[in-house]
Amino acid sequence: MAVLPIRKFPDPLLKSPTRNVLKLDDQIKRLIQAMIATMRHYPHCVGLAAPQVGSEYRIAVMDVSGHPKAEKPHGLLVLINPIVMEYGPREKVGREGCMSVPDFTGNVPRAMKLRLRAFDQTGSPQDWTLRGFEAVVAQHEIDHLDGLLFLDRVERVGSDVFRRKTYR
Amino acid sequence: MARRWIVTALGKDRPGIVAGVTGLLYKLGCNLEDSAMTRLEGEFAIMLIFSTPQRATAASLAQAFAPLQRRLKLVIHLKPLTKPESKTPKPRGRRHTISVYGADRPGIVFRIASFLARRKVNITDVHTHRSAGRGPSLYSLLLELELPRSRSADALEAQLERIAQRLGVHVSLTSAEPDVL
Repeated sequence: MAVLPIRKFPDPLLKSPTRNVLKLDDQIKRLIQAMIATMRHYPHCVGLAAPQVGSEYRIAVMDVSGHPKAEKPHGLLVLINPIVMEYGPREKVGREGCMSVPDFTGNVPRAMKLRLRAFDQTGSPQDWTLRGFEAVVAQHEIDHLDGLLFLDRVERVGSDVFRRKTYR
Repeated sequence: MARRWIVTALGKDRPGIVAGVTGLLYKLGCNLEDSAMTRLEGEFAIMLIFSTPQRATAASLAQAFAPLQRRLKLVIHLKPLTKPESKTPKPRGRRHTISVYGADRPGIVFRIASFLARRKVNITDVHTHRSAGRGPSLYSLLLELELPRSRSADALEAQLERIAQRLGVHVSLTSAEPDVL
């Protein structure tokens, strides 16, 4: 399966809201498989949203298994038309980077628990409760589907945005 | 003669310092790169890296800055960056943040920083703040460092805690490695 090129800011697609998938047809299934392959291709990548690979559909894929911060992960999650049903009350600030914003990292507050409703890759509706790092990743990916980048979430530019340049 | 420069500008805080310095560089056709600009009490400080459209001399740039220096009463220093100085530094370890806070007393920053220096731990960013209210003042220190891979974060934190105890302050060390999501 071909690895898709990653769109980088200022690509306007990254700042546009996505549209819901109405039919899980072959084109959408191929897109999902390509997104999974692309996510797996990058060693540190734990999630990918459709706009990052040039699609305007409301689809994200994620898999945090094997990540040191993941506790009891669900494994591969394909989120089609996801909506957040509930944010947990506790927030934690973590430093995020994004393949679509390669030169920066930022401190972003995220809910530590998330209740999600989405269709899975077979088209069945699912409710998921995600915790900790897995909840953080889902919020980052769903932000992409709403046209938001982590830079929209940092509270103070002075101490919350960092150049990642020294990391390459 | 150089293409890349770092400038520092210091002066009493007032509206127009950022606009003055960046406006001058814009008119000279320069490109702003990394910068940090902040106010410490009543003083405003700028540190800024910029590149010039052609090679420039220190004298020509100093001349260009002179009117601004007079108008805003700034202390300006220009330093050319050589090719090797322009290279992005290689990371010297995993990025961590140390947070220290407690009642203000002399030596907090020095004790922490010299402890790190002896262990060849590189500090990349420091912010300190002292509360200016009535009563005993609170001091807070936030610094970022690159922890060499050969050093354990847990061991470093335990040693920092012993120093903090002697200083009567609180300390924590947390990983600041970003997660690429």
